[in-house]
Parts: sequence; C-alpha cells; structure tokens
Amino acid sequence: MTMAVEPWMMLVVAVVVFSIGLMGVILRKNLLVMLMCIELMLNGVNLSFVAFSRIHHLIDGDVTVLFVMAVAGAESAVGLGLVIALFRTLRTVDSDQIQMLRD
Amino acid sequence: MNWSLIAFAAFATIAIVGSLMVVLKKNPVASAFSLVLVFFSFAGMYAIMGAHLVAALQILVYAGAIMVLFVFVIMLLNQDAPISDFQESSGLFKGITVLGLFGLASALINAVLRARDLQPTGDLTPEKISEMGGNLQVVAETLFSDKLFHFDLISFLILGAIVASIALSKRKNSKGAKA
Amino acid sequence: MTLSLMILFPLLGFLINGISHLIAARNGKRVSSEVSGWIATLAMIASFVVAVYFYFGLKAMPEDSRMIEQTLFQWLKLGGLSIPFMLRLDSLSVVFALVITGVGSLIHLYSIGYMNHDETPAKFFSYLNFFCFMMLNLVLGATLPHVFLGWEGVGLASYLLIGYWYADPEKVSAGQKAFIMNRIGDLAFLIAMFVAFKHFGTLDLVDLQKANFSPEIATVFGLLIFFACTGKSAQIPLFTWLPDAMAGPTPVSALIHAATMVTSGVYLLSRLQHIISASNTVMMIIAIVGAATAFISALIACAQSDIKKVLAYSTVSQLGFMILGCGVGAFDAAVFHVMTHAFFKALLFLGAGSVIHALHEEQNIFKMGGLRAKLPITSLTFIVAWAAISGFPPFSGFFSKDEIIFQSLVSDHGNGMLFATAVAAAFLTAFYMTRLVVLVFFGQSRVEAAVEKKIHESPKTMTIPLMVLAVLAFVGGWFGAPVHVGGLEGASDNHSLEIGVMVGSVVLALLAAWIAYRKYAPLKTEEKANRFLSSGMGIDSFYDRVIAGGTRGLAQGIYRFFEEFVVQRILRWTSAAVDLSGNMLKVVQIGSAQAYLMMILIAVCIFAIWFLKWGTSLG
Repeated sequence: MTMAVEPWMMLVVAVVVFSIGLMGVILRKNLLVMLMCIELMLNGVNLSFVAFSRIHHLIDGDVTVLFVMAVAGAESAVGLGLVIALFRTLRTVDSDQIQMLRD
Repeated sequence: MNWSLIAFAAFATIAIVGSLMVVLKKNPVASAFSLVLVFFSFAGMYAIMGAHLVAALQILVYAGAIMVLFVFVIMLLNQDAPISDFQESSGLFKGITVLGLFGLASALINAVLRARDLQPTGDLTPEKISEMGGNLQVVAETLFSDKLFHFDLISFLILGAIVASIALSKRKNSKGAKA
Repeated sequence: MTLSLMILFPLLGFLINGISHLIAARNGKRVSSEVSGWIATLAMIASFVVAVYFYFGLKAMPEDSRMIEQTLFQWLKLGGLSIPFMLRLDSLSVVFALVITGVGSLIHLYSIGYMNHDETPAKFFSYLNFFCFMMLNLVLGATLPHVFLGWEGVGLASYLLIGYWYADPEKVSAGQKAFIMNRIGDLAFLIAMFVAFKHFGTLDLVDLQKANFSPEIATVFGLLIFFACTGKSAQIPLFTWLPDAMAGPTPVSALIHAATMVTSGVYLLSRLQHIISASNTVMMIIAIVGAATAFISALIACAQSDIKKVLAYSTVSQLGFMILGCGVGAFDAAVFHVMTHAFFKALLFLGAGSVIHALHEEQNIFKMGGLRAKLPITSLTFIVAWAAISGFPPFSGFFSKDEIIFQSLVSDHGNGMLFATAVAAAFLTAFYMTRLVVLVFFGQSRVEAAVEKKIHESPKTMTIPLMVLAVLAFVGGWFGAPVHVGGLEGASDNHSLEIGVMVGSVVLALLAAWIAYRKYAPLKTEEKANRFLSSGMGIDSFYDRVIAGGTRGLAQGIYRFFEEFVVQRILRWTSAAVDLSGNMLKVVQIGSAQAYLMMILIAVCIFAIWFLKWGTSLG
C-alpha cells in the first residue's frame, strides 16, 4: 500500500469512463441522455490528456484540457439549443422518431 | 497510509459507478445528477495529479455551467419523467456494439499498459512546477505565450457558439423573443 | 501459255458478268442473255483451247512422266504444313479438264437460247463460270486442300444454281438439301485430310502415291474419302438430293448434275487409287454401294413421270456404275465412262430442256408423245443419246459400260454378285430409257391442245450443241481408255469371256428395249406407276422424318431445357443476388446517428488494434 498514484492508473479510469460513455451514446434513445454521454466521453479524454501530461512531464496536456472544456461547453450549448428547436417541431426527443433520412 | 492512493481509489470508483448510472438510469434527471457526481470525482482526480487549474475549472464549467444547462433543458422539455427503455435494436446490434466496445477497451487498456513504460519527454517534474510558481502559474504562462493562437481560436469558437445558440432559439416570426 | 490460263478465263467471265449484273440491277436494267452468254461461252471456249493445247503437250511427253505443274503462289503456311497453290495436269486430270471445258462450252452456248427470257441472265452466266472455275480447281489441284477448295466451291455453285429461281421456296429448299447433304460428305473429306497429314505426312497428291502406310490406315482413309464421294456423286446413302436438284434450270442439271460435279467423286477415287486399292474392305464396300445404287435407282427411274426426274435417277444409276468400276479396280474404265456419260447425259438433259422449252415448261412425260415430227433435231439427237446409254455398239456408252461390267466379273475385286447386279441394272437402264423415248417422241400425242399449237424447234444456239454432243456420243467410245492417252486396254486374258459378255449385254439391252416399246408405244393415258418406286422407295421421306425431324426435335428439346432451366435460373438468381446484396448493404444508410457511431467505433477499434500491433507506419 505504499505505492504512489501513478498516472497510468488515471489512464485506466479515463479509458473505462470513455468506453462507458461511448456505449451510452450508442445504446440510449433519449437525445438528452445521449448528449450527456458525449460529455462523459469528453471527460474521459480530458483525464487522459492530463495523465499523459504527467507522464511526459509536460504542461501541454493541461492547456489542452482547457481548450477541450471550452469546446465542450460550446458544443453543449449549441446541442441543447438544437434539441429545443427539434422539440418545438417534433414534440419528441426520441432519436428513433427523428430518423428521416431512413428509407 | 498512502492517502493519495486511498483518495484515488475512492474517486475512481465513484467516477466509474457514476458513469454507469448515467448510462443506465431511466430518468434523465437521475442521469444528469449522476453526471454531476462523475464530474466531482474527476475534479478530485485532477487535484490528486496536481492539475489544480483543471480541477477548479472542471467544477466551475462542467458541473457549474454545463450541467445546469442540461437540467434546465430537461425541465424545460418536461423530460423529467422516467422514460422507456434503451434502443430497441436487434440483439445483433447490441452484440456488435458490445463486441466493438470490448475490442476498443482491450486496445485501449493495452495502450495504457504500454504507457507504463513511457519515458518522459519534457522536464517539468512536479518539483520544477512548484519551483516555477505552481500549476496555475505555469499553465497561465503557457496559455498566454506558447498557446496564444489556440487561445484566440477558442475564443472565436465560443463566439460562434453564442451566435449559433441565439440563431437556433429565435422564433420564425418577427415577434419572437429569445428563448 | 500457262496452265493458270485454264482457270483464269472462267474466273474472268465470272467477275465480268457478276459485276455487270450488279451494276445493271442497281440501275434497274438488264444485261441481255446474248451479251452475257457470249462472254461466258467465249471464256469457256478459251479455256477449252488451253486444255487441248496441253493435251497435245502431254501426249508428246514420254509415258512415265506425263505431268505439267505450275505453282501460282504460296497459299497456306501453318507450322509444319506448307501448301502452295499449285496446278498439276496429268493423264487423269486432262480427261476431266477436256470434258469440263468442252462439254461446258457447249452447255454455255445452249444456255444463251434457253435463258433468253430470264430476268437476270448475267447472274446465271456468272454462276456458271464460277462453277467451271471451281471445278477446274478441283481436277487441277495438286494438293488435297486445293481439291477440297474446288470440292466446296462446286457445292456452293450447285446450291446457287439449283436455287437460282429463289422466289420459289421449294427450289430454295432443294438447293439447301443439296448443300447440306454434300456438307456431310465434306466433313468426311476433312477428317480424311487430317488422317492423311497425320499418318502419311503429306497432302500433296503425288507424294501421297509414294507414301508408306499400313492397311488399317488405308482402310480408315479410304472409307472417309468414299463417304465424301457418296455425297458428291450421289450414292447411297447421300443421293436423295440429286432428284430434287432438278428444280434448277436444265442447263444446270446438264452441266453440274450430269457431266461434271457429280463425277468429282470418281475423280477423287481414281486420284487416290493407290491408297484405296490397298484395302480390300474399302474396295468391297465401294463396289457393293456402287452396284446397289446402280440397281436401285434404275428401278426408281422406271416409275418416274417427270422427264428430268427420270434423267436424274438415271444419272445416279450411271454414277453407280462408275463407282462400281472403281470398286473392282477398273479405275480407267470408270474414268472412261465418266467421259462418255458426260456426252450422252448432257445431251439427254439438253434435249429434255429443248422439249420442255418447246412445250412451254411442261415436264410430265404423260403429257407428251409423238413429238418426233415437230422436233426433228431434238428427237434425233435424243435417240442417239438413248442408243449410247442403253449400250448399243458402236455408240460410246457400249464401250465404257461394258468394260465396267466385264471387270466386275473378272477383276480381283469382282465377283458374281456384283456382275449380276450390274447386268440387271444395265437391263433396267435400257428399259426405262426406251420407256422415256417412246413416251416422249413416239406414239400418240397426249399434249394439251393449247400447247400443241405452239410447238416449235429450238433456236440454233440450242440445237448446235445438241448436234455436237450427238456426234461425240457416237464416236466418243472409239478413243478408248483415255488414262493412257492411247488405245483401249485391249484384249485381256479371257478374250472369249469378254466377247460373250459384250454380246450378252447387247442382247439384253435389245430385249429390254423391245419390252418397253411394246408396253408404252400404244399408251394413251397416264400410267399408274408403282407408288413405292415413284416416291424413291421412301428413302427421302425417311431422311426427312428421322434425320431432319430428329435434329429439329433435338434442337427444340435443348432449347427448352436450356431456356427454361438454365438461362432463366441464371437470370433469376443473378437478379436475386443483386437484390439480396443491395438489401444487405442498405443497412448502412439508415440515418441513425447511433448506428453511424457504432460503425465509427468498429473502425476505430480496428485501427487501434492495427496500430498497437504493427505500429503506425501503414506498410
């Protein structure tokens, strides 16, 4: 139990969270939940950036995380705006009902 | 007692369990709150690694702004009731997904394990960072010197997002007020 | 003066007449029968002059080396096989060449008058010249492929000329029947050439005579060649085309189906006698087929009511005699009979043409009779031919036919059965020919009244050839065995037997003639002939039902099988496969972002595994 927290352990967590998020995006129908799972994925990526930054003794990973957070925020805002706009017309956030490209 | 390790184990567990709950809970509000939990545990993990700015921003931006927005929209669209199931896709679809995920996860874990043997390419050890004034100092300096261009681009991105949200929420008729 | 001139003149005639016909037809005009006919006839006469010149040239040479060659150009070069386009004239081919060009010229001259009411005489004469060109190639060719070229060429000319009046579908189908039956024989000829090249190593006719071979190969080769001859020379089993070929204009029947083309089989057998006579089996088969054909077709001729059909079956019968001669080893006698037969059979056909022309296309002998008075020249020449074919001395037919009959008894390959059959056939020949002559020229006139008023003798261009041929039919036998360009193979060992056979055959012929005269001279109405005989013993309809019908049925069956089971299935399966694959691939385009995401996931997965295993260099 005297082992230090190694960065690669963070990587494991990041991978797992990312995978769970990906699974969520694919398997859930509710648009809002899908967006939340995308946030999960982004967070997993953030964690891996920071972990690599610690492995390589650099600081670039930290800075990149800032950018990713900014992008995630922008993307959430626009995405949620889209969901609202969609809801106005289709009265649903069920992705199955929105597949108009099909057939 | 290695407090970092214990803390890390706790945060990691909460993060994983939380993300599972995000995916598996039926009520979108429950999903949203689980996500907040995940964000908090991530912040903890960042702090353990010494990325203090990121940890702070994680809570401020993610848990504080984005999740608020999510909950707000959920309530706005009256999605706060538990909803029906998952994708009623065929077993084949689910099977392939699981398989794909399994493959991806194993690949990633392989990568991770290799990462154990990575050699550092830079020289900013934690001692050096605290020498240079701490994490915040170093990040801020890098952000506004080496990464200034990226920083400007990101600000443009945010501007674009603002314009897009406004455009999206405008109603068709001229009498429309903002959403 | 070169050999090639002999084939060049008919070729030129063919081209000139052919082109002028095409030009005239394009402009809606008509080249007159006189112009085109004289062009063609002069070409043939020129060819005849060349033949006579070379005949004397050959005669002046010593007996062993009587051969004149001329190579025109290198024709085929295939691997180890090198075939030049070479003409060769020797004692055998000079006889045929003289007959083809000489009798051919007379028939061309005759056709000028015969075809002067036809619409496209230039086409007719170009076809005739083409035929002579091909026939000369056949007899002058120095290699088997060259002979085959002529063989096929005369088959083509025969088809074109039989179906000359192509507006009538019956005539066209007669032409087709001739061509197809010939083709069956041609297949045997081709295979024989393959055998020759494989086992004898050469296709040159002179070299073939010197080649080494085993009796088995000789048998195979001989059988194949003989089968080809049964097609061309109308023997059993491939003879039913000849009576149908009478649908063509009468000069065609005279030239092609009496004097020349049908004798190419005899030529081929004589040419290859060295190999064929080495196999007793083949000789026996040839002799039996010849004798049987001679007898059976003579029987059928006795029951025919169409003047040309009588002559057609008569030709088959006489060809049977020639083939019989070959089969018993009397090749010289067979060729001799070719020559005399050309004279009197051409004369018979041209005379028949004269009668038909005078009676305005009437061909039924029961509607004729007593024409001796109205058609003096025609009837006189016809009677000369009758005497020749029935075998009365001193007419030509007596000498040649008798030689064959005698050889069928005494030769090494002959036997009593063959002799008896030949004698019976000769008896029948005299019988049906007398029947024909009596019904047409003697007795009471049974001609329809309307036609009877307009009967007139034919123009000079038609009667002069008749007279020339009559003279030849009379004196032709005195030249004797032509193969040695000298006298008849004189006395043999059995001199008294020979005299006995000669006398006996004359007596039999007289007897047959007398019986026929007694029966038919007083005839007033149509004779009810034996239906079995008059329909050619049902052989033709048998061929039609079994072979043609069978082939048609087989084709139908295969078509149905293929069409229904194979082709339709393939089409259906192809379209189903395309459908299925389309449906399967359609899955990709579903508009569900999650599905797309999954595909991305799988792709990323594959990439990740790849990079981890083999690094990022995409090699």
